[in-house]
Amino acid sequence: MMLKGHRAKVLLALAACVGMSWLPTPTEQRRRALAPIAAFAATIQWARADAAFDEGRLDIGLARAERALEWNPSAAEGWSWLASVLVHRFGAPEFESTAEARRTWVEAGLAILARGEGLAAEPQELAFHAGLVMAFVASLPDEVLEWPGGARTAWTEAAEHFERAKALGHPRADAIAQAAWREVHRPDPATEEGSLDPAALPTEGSSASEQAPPDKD
Amino acid sequence: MRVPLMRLALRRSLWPALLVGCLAVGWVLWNNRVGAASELATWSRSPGILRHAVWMTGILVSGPLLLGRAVAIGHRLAGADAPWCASRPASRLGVLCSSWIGALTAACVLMILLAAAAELGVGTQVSRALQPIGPAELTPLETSESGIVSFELEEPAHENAAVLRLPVGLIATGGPSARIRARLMRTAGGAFVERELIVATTRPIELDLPAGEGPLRLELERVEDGALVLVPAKRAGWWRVMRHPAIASLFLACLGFLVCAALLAWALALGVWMRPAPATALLLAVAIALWFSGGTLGGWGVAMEHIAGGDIPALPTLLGSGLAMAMTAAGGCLGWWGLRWGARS
Repeated sequence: MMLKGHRAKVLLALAACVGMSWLPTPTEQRRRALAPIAAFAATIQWARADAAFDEGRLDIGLARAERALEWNPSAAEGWSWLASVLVHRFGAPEFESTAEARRTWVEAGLAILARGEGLAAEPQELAFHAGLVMAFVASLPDEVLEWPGGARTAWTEAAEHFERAKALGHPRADAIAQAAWREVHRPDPATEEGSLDPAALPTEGSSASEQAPPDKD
Repeated sequence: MRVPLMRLALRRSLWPALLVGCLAVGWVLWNNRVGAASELATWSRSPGILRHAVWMTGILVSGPLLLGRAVAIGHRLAGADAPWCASRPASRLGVLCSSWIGALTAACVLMILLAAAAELGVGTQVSRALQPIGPAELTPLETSESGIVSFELEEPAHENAAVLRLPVGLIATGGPSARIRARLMRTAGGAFVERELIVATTRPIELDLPAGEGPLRLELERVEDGALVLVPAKRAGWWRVMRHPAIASLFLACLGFLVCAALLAWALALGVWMRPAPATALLLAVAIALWFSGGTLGGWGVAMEHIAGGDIPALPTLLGSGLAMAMTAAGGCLGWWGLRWGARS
């Protein structure tokens, strides 16, 4: 019997397979050892994820996006792009028909930004992006997302995100945070669904891109 | 057939691919386990994705190794191994066939292990798995109502047909998406299935087959202004629902058997005629081309995409199986010719 003489090899292969599936979570330092190659591979995965989203295969696209983030977690653009897709594309009324489903996507986008803050090289950008997302949520008519607590709660969360971005060193977060707090404390309830002063918002392109997937580290 | 030669080819082919493949698949299972806590896991940890990850890893890692070893076996049969490779007088065809069977057995062992690992990785997750069973010809119908497009369809030939999948295109004029009402009904009246859906991507529309018998009528009605929705093909597809999605790995293993039979025969043959490195490179180039191409022998890449989407690959067609066997025979003949006429001597 062929296996008889190679029992050790069979056992070695099976043990390696089983053993690796039970290894503990790798540390970030270990993962980043392959960063130069991983960044290139992640770029390809981002392109494939975008193609899958266009074809409506969300599960495949999200799996590829997660793989890209795993391979290159330090690139803030990746976290921002994925969050933008979740919030502004999947969480749009043109994509989901119910407020609950839209809110789920927005919450997933915020969770992605929160996770990215712990891993990306520029966490202040992600905190700032989270603030922008919440400002966007606060500016929407209530029936679009039916956000718990309404616009005032959303503005409060936006202001807290901007404050965190400021603490992390984002250059424009201070002014935006003040504007958001003004919206929180605005006395007239009719303005709770109003929008942030456009002059206080950052100019187009100053935040993470929502138009195209990141193509470089 | 020479059993010792089969064992020799099995040993030479199996171990490198098995060891490296096990390590790679173990790595994938480990990564899946590590990433299970992600906030996107609800969507991105579908059974199809997990199954696809294990199979792709196995194919990408073990496949080239297996082919490389088969080429090396063919090369040695024509060179260093020729004087002693059979303990008794053996025909060259017998030597070649025995080696091919050994290498094919190694491939089968690998595929069985891959199938087991894929289904273990999927675990107990349940999802609706569909398998294509035949085309559905769409005959456009004239309609007097604006905003409604109608097609006539024949009764599906396969009795297990349960779902119609209609490919759609999208032109984002007037909005990024369109809200449409899709209705599939029996022409003679009676049962119908209706869905109102938002078309925001080019994902095919799925409609369950209504009860009853006879021809069908498909209506697509625009509910409100938005993007243009196109039906780009005159053909949709009938799919059946599989009760046991784990059968996807079994079907993949069946397809893999046919593919491996042909590729290994050509690997042995090219090994007889060429040096191992260029022969392996040539085979891999052909395999990659077939992966991305269509046609009877190609389309493996699309099949694997279906796996990732949670679908089950179609059964091998008679034509495809015949072509694979013909390619196997052609490879065997080329190798036998090389051994007989002393290609390496």
